[in-house]
Amino acid sequence: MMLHLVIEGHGVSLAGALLLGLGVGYVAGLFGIGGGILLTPLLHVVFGVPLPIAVGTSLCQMVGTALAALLRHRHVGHGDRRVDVLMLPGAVLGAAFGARTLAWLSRAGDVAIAGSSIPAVTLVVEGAYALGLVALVLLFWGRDATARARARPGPLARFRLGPRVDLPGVELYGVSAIALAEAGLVLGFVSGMLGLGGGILMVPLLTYGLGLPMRQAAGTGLLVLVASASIGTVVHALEGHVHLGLAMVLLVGASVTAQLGALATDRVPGHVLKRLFALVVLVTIGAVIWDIGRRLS
Amino acid sequence: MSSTILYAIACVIVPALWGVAMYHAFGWWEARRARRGGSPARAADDDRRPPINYSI
Repeated sequence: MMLHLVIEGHGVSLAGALLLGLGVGYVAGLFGIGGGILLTPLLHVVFGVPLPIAVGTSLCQMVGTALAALLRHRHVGHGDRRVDVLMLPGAVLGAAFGARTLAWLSRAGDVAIAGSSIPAVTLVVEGAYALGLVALVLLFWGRDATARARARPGPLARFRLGPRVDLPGVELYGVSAIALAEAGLVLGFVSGMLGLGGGILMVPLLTYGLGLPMRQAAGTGLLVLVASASIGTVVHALEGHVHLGLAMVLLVGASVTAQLGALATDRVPGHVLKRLFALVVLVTIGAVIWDIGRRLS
Repeated sequence: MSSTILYAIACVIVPALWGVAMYHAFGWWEARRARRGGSPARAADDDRRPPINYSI
């Protein structure tokens, strides 16, 4: 007997959802990403989950993954809590605003393009995902550029608008608190609206913008991500856009295979990893573009 | 308190509890592998991306 989760009258196979969680978790562990940027479009395109629910559910499961990662990085002492604290208020506000914006978009109806119509929420969210996935490929391809052991102040760290703070934990001094707060606002908005942890912006912001080494950057933004995912989840849940059962099935699958993927990384050559990663992301981009094209045709 | 608000709170608490449980479970598993002489831990040099960056 095939078990299904019923989401807005649409049946989602329990086994299929578990497989998706297992697959995304393995890919996330293998390539050192979180997987949220793959999860939301695949939930929508492959399983037909309405976009607002795919976003809300993705954020909900991210509360668990981001919290586990935060505890782990805190345990090994990565990152600087001051960066998190300065970005936190903006991120919380931004996540709530982003989630409300998505709810508004989902009620905004269709947009007419070249004689066809497409839901505004699909156009905006899937368009953003397609662009984000391209950026992810470029970021992953250029990851060696961030391979340094010590912080080297980036453009954001040289921003002079006061008040300024010292971040001795990551060896950066005189960083603008205003710039960090504004960055938190943008990250929170993207997180709440697209169901991302913000890593697609967070990692470049901390490595290229602030100039943190990758290891410190990965541990630094996680408190912000836990907070923005939590606030985004609450706002989406109040709008009826979170399916807790689906989120837990995805989370259970992903949290197990993420560890296996991370272990497998040691046995796969770097150039093979890069090609596999590009293939996975290109397939996801193809699925998103196919979905937009299908709706416009 | 309405059921919608309780549900919204549960949507944060339940995955958070799972995350904490996973942190402890995998911490125990890694310690056990290390004690049994399993594959050595990945190099902890600062220029490598950590195995899992859940942030994206």
